[in-house]
Amino acid sequence: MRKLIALFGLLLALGPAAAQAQANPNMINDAVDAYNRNDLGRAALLFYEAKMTDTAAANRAKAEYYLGHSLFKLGMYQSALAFYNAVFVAGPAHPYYLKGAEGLINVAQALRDDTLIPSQINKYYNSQGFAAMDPMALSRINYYVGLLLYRQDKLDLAMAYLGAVDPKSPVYAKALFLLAIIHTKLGVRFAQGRDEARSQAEYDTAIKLFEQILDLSGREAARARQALATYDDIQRIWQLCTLNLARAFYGKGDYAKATVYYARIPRFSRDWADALFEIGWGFYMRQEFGKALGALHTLHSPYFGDLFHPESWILRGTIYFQACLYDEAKVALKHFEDNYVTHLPLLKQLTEGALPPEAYASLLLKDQLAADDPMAKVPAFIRASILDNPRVENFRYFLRSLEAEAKAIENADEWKGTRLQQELAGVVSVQRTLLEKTAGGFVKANLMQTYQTIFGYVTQAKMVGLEITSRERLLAKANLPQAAEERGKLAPRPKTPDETYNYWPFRQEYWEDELGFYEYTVRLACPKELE
Amino acid sequence: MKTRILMTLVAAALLAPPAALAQSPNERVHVLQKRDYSVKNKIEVTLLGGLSLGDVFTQNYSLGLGIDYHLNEAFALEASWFTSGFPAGATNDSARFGMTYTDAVSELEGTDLSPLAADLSMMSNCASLNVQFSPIYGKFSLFNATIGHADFFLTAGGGVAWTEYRDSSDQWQDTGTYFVGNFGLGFRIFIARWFAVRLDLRDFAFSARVDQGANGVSTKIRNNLFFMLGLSFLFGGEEPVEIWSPY
Repeated sequence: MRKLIALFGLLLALGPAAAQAQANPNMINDAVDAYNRNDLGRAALLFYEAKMTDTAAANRAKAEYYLGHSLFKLGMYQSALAFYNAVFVAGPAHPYYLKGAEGLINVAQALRDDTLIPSQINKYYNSQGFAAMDPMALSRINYYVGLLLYRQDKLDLAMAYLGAVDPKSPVYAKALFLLAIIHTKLGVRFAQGRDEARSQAEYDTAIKLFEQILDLSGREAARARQALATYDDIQRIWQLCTLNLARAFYGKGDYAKATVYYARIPRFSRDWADALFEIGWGFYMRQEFGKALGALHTLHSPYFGDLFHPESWILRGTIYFQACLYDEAKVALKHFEDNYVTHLPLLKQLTEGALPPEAYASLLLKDQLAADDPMAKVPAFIRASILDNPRVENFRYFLRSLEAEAKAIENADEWKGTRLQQELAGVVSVQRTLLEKTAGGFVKANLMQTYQTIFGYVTQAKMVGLEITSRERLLAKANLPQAAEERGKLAPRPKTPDETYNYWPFRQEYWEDELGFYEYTVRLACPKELE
Repeated sequence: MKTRILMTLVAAALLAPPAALAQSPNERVHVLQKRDYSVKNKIEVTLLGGLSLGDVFTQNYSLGLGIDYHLNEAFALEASWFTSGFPAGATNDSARFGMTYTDAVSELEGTDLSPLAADLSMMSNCASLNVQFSPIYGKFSLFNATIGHADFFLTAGGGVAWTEYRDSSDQWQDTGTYFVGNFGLGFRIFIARWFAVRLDLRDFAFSARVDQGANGVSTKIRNNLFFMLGLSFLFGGEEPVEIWSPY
């Protein structure tokens, strides 16, 4: 980030210095002609020269903005960013200030950058100056700034920016969604602070917002198609609304509604694994252990392979513990121990070692890792869980975009040996280095988070283990059998709701079409003497 | 009793279960699954084509139409009509494709093994009402690529058969209309909720009677076993509720 700003500074500094060079009074007109002819490579070159040599400040300002715009139209977003940024940071005194801000936001969108450019805009945010801006562009800026502030945990400020997004803007649904997420987060916080009334109020607001987003679809296909054409990423947001409605109801303690919404997440969809795990908790809270274990049975099936879900094994162990099936609980905890806890030393070594940030980036940016790459040691399922983060695709997209841009700059014949080519190559190279560091930092943070997640569950696993030991002692003291088989009867199989349902007994054979339809019955093994 | 059926040479299990999930004696895992292919309250219209099997002297090629109403997942009522008398109206043997005698008739002519006239009486048309019972709904894995669904059914019923006999001048003569009883079994392989392929094996039993004038009357209870392949179109029933979904 600092390097990026330093680069912006360098470009700004280059501007006035260039005025010393020879001036060609027709340069700017020639550049505009080339731009109007859509000869953008030539236009960029001439705008650059005009920016560097024109004696008139107005022409230099115009050249600076249109240089950025020409590069943007050429698909050289990183290069365009440098010049749009110079225009923007010059402030309202620059005649193209607002257009520079719009240009920045367009680049952010093109590069899928929701961090660096929003941070730069936030730094120079000028509410008075922005008042004259196109409301759609301003809404996008407000959304990006809101997102940035949300990530910085400045929730009140974030809500103010998000609330200012125009309902006609393509980012309106995204802004509403983020607002709902913030309210959910506040619901959790108030619940932790034991302020039940405010917690419930926050969840209710979140639920209303999620419903409002779903209402944009009219809940029917024809209107949904209209909304798809109007709002950015609306389909994904609708999907996430379903999941987050379930979470909000879970947070409110309405587990019945939560399970209904979790069950609406379609099988085999992107959110299904999360929904299965969370519905497991929902059923557990409703004391429906058979259904909870059934959801986990799908999650732990070969279909999901080595999905990173350490908590699901703790939940499984806890359910068995509640059902007084101590041997089964121990098996679940052992699975957690063998498959997660064993990786802690390696994760610790990787995150506490002296590796530079860029050394971590290969995990994210490379498809194939060399054997001597330290990131090759990261277990496949942990790598997969990191790569599953939606931000990873943005990083990769950004990298591919930079590589393509570097090649385009190198291959532009018209620019061969020019200062423009040299400067743009430098811009892209610096950004690539920065990206590697940022990606590396992201990977390192995720590895640390993974370590902390597993480590956190180790304590829970130990607590369940201790409780099991304690219960087994009580059984021994009460002269009750240790084997669950001798303590109770198996519950009968679940009834089929009607004849349009099939009942299949599971015999250790996974059929893809049965995933998501499992239900357990367990032995009722809790002795009355210990209740 | 509904059960799974496995196609030969098909590995049914998708993957071996992980060791940690080996089932303990203290739990059972069940699958409760909405039927993908429910037939309850559906009307099934089937176009059938079939041929007779196993008769030494006669060979039928039949076309048929069946209309089933599924009272529930297990029972259905079926009205069906089969014909071998096509092209309709053709009485000359060389013009009729649906009914023919095998070479054995001419080869055995004049010998002790020569068939009776009643042995050569054939069903030209048949209309019947049946009750169908589907006790088995199953699924099968087809080379681990896809999962198919089928039901197995038994059927029995009765109706009317129009019979004909080919005389010595190779002309088909009407030999009367008789009660016909039938029973059989079959599979319905579901391709879509509205479409299935049907395989039927059905035995038709009817009283054949050929009045040969001066040569007397030849009678016999005849069994005609038919193998039929059909295309079924299913209408109505419980349609899946189409809720708009962003997924």
